[in-house]
Amino acid sequence: MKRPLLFVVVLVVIAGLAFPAGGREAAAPEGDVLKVGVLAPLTGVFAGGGWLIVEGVKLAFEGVDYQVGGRPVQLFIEDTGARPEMAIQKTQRLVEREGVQLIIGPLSGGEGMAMKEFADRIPNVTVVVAGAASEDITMRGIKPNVFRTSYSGAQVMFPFGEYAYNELGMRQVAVIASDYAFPHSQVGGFLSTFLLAGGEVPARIWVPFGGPVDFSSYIAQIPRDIDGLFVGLGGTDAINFVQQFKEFGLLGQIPILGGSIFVDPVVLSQVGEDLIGVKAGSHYAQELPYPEFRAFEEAFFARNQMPTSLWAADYFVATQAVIAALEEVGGRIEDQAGFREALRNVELDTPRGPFRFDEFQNVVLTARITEVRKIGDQYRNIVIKNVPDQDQFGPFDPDWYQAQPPFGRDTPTLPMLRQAVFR
Amino acid sequence: MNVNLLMILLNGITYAGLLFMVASGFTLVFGLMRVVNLAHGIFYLLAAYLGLLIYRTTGSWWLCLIGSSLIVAACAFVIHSTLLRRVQGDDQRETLLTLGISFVVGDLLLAYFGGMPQRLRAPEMFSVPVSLGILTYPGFRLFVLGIAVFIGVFLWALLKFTQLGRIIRAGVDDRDMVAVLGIDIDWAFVAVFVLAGFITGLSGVIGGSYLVFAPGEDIHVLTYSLIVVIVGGLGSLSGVALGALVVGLIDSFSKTLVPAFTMFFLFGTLMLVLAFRPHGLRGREK
Repeated sequence: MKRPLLFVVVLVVIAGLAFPAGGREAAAPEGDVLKVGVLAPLTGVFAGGGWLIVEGVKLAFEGVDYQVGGRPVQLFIEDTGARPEMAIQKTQRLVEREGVQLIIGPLSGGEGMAMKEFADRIPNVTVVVAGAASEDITMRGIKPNVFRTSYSGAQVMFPFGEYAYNELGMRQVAVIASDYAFPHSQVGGFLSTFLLAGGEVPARIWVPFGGPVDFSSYIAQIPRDIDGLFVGLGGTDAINFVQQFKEFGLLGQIPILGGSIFVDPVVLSQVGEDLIGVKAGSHYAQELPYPEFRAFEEAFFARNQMPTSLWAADYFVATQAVIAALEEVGGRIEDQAGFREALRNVELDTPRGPFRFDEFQNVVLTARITEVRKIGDQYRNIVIKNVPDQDQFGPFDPDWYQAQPPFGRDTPTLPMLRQAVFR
Repeated sequence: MNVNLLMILLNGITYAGLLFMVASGFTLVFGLMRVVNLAHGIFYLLAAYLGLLIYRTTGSWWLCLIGSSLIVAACAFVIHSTLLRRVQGDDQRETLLTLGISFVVGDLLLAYFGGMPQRLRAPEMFSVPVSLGILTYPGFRLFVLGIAVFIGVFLWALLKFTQLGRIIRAGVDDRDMVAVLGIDIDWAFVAVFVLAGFITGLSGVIGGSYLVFAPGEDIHVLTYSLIVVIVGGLGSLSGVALGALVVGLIDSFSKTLVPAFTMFFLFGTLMLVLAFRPHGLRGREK
């Protein structure tokens, strides 16, 4: 029995690892084709939102009829399974085999960090990080060919920590979140301002990312005498957590504060009724006061019968920025220096509001605090507070901020924050 | 700390219930009949998605529980009589064939249902928290544990006391000898395969009411079933129960005490078992 058993185990492992699907190329258009690579998770934890991302990119290119600067655009959509090594592998393939010089993506924090490291080896390619929000992508040493149009985890959370203390009157807030760079950054941003305001964090519970889906043992660790629980989970993890939190009888007992991807439409479509009233820090919502938002929402709904998600919007905005810069240089992506210069200077009105880059090639955006409400028969995020012109350093001095280690499981701490230099 | 300890124990035991339910169908086929059925995970997922269809049309959770289990059992019958029968006894061909089935069905499910995570809604009466004196506990977890115990007792009685059970046990030991005695051993094995399909169907609907399911979940289910069966011991029903309990408790305690090392402890145990008791905790040498 020994050998077949080994054979079986090996096969299962291979099946598990080799799953991310291959590239999907649209039929090559005629003429001087401009090739654009798109990295998105179409399998794995974020598969639910993955196809919406691709819809965001396609919608933006459809808006210009797949013609930029007089050149037809060809998309190369690659599945990364939200795994860093796969993101690198797919990028390498796109660059070496297809000659792609522009990448839109990836989505997850780990992938983004891997891409930053890899960027040195593809100097003639520009990476426009459209989703990944681990903060080091655009600080503590930046890469000339890496831009970020999405956000850093902490960037949209600085106002939320203050809000929880001042407006919601919370003093003790525990944290449960996935154990990787993006939630570290989100929790870090939230706690920086919450702790400085005078709040306390009695427990920080970190859940392995992409691990088993039984949350009971983590729920058991949540202290019961707290004012709020910050939940930094997303995708299927978020849905499983909410369902089990409810079954333990804690829903309604402990108010939930959400991370940016916790109240995604995919999550709301499954457990929306349990999350009514939940507030979250984000830069997107399902109701924003811009004409660009309405147009995007309507076009998106017509195609997918779903409200737009943060991820779809982020990829849409990334593509818009890319298109604007390409128009500026007449579609000449081969002139990388010129293209990057044009990209750096892009200013746009987007579905997310006004858009521009800071000197670190990271987006400056409007941070928001949102609340889940039931509108018609849909659960949606409504903005209850806007904080315009937020960059990735929040209230802190950029030099001081970058001299600190990146947020981790046990940081920030109050002693560290007491040394902080403000702007 | 006492309440906490009790909670961790209960979490581990109820999780073990879920694991046992999922793995028992697998052990019938893989452990007893030695058919390497890598389509096990996809049976689970198929049942969950069928449950979703039935729930959308009828609105009854009980109907989807029974309905999708029956359909999955029927699928198991068809797959066995058309495909698996031809390669019986050849491990590698069984492996490749069932893996192929699981890819094909998995892609069909993805094409039809899309990649969005889904869940089934169990009746309200199960999803309320239950008060156990010093702590409140999710009713559904206790329900799952109850079902798991029921399935365990049922299978044990079936194997121990019925004619079918005797034939199976004899057939596992020496298939040719049983056939020589004039017993239709093939029929008995088909029956076991169908029964395993039915139980996997049950576990798919119940599991899908507890945890979210999405394409790719079948690999998780298969992996955990393999771990439980390998730790417990091939071909032993009590072994699966023990394996599920070990895995459930390791999972629960390590997640609470040293969360970063959950996978280390889980696979570490698997490695130790394979190194020192290659036939599993309760498996026997052949």
